Amino acid sequence: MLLLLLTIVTALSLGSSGLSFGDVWHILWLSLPFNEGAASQYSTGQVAIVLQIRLSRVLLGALVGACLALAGVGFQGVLRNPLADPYTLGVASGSSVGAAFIILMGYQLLLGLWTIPIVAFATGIITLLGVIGLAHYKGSMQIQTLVLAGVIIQSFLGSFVSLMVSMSEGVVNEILFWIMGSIAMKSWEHVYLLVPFVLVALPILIFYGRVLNLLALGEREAAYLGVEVERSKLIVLIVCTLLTAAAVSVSGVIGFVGLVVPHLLRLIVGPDYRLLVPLSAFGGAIYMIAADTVARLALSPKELPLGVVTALIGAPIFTYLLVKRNRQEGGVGSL
Amino acid sequence: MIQLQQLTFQYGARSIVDRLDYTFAGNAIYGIIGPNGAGKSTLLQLIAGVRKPSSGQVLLEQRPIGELPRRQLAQRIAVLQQGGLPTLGFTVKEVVAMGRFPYQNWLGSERADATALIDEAIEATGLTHLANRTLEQLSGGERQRAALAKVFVQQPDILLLDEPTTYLDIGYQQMIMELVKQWQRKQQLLVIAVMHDLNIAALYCDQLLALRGGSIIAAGTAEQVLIPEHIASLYEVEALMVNHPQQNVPQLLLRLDLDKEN
Repeated sequence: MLLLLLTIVTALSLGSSGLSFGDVWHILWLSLPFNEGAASQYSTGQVAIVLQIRLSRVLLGALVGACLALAGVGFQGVLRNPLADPYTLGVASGSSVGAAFIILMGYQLLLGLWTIPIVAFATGIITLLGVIGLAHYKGSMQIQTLVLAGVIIQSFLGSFVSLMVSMSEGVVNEILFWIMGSIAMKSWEHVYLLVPFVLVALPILIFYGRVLNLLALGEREAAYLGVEVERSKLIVLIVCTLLTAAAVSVSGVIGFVGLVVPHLLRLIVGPDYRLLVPLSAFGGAIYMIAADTVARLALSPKELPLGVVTALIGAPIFTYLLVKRNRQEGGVGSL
Repeated sequence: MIQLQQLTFQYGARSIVDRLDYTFAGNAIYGIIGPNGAGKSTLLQLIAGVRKPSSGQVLLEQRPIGELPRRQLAQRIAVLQQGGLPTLGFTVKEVVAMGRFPYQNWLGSERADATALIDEAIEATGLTHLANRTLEQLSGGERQRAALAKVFVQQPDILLLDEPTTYLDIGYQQMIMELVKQWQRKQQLLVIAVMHDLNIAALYCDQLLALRGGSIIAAGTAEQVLIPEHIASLYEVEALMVNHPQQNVPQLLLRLDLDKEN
């Protein structure tokens, strides 16, 4: 929690506009409802940079990161597969097909600004329903079938995206940029959109933390201990899919956060999902803000694609922790 | 008390468990024996309610087992699986505490404090010095004892064991069976165990049930069930029966056919 605040503070204060640390915080302070407003001391441009651009971007980053890391920890728990991430079951590919189609056809403004997010969200959810439908047999879902169905759908839809990319000439950059993911050029509306998802999903997943712990012992063992296995799997999968689809629909496909944040936390605090779930929300938020700040500043004024940065930062940290842990225990680490 | 009524489980067209009728009365250890593929483990899973019968039913105190919510069922029936727990990063203490799940409310707490119960179970299984080790640091035998401690903590009145001593050396085999027997006597449990080792089954089980092809071919005490004719029809081996010098139960030796071949 403290770490999250610290990250937010740092990220807010860093930028290319030449505002000092003190200025940023003074503006924020003056903008709180009980003060008279910041406009008196600073120019409207400066206030806008802090409130409209930076603050919303940092908060959006925090929410997207929290969504993806929560979805990642949920998927890993239910699928009991260390390689699972929010995109394993094809949600992101579904969203990408929807978004790419809209961009290719030039329908971006059909339903106003929200066309791409709405379509991406819907196609993502439809994809998951398809995958669950494929894996459902006689009232139960086999995890292996589920993962296989996800992989198949993912590559099937992936080829559609490639097809659309190759067919588009003018908008090829736009499609690729959407797929690579970014939280630039977003507004407070995007922030408000994600808040309810996190607020609803977090308590549900925290509640299922104990169930995920039992599932780690094996589905049958969990059933013997009193878990309604199929119902629990379905609920967690659906909640995680909603989180993923919501995050993807506003920010595109940002990789690695959902995979690596839960694993980083596992290496630090152990396998207990009662801790992993809430910590993943914070961890994902911190990770995403940090990555976005780097993406913003590293080659300023040119921005790096956020998905590239998350992977560039994540892989070395992850490797370091893994090696360190294996040295300490002198044995095989199980994730 | 558990009753099987015309219990059948089919996989495709094949009947794994075929129209079984049997009653497991309380306060005894029942051993289920039979060759591989006889339907022993399937029968146990049907009794535990994790598989649905194709036809017929399993009754727990006159009620079909499928009607009970899993949570309530877990307060009555506990299962010790073959091969124990997976290698995970949870400590012994954490895993044993998971046995309290069926008694916890949605916040994960329960009315009475279960700490003493958990410690007692860890001590009874001789794991006190390993309580803070993680499962991945334990041997197979130690993990199986942790699984047993978790089942103790679940406080069932019916205990199902699926080949509880497979993969264990004879020291651990005896230890697990002794613990189960002591616990069964103390709490007057109904224990139903799928047994691989007939000699251990004869030593610890009050009643034996011999399955072949999903049907019961013999049931009764060890003396009644473990006779050479049954052994031949179950496993297609020729057996010599001897008497256990201390416990006065039948023990089985294999007759070798080497001379015949030469």
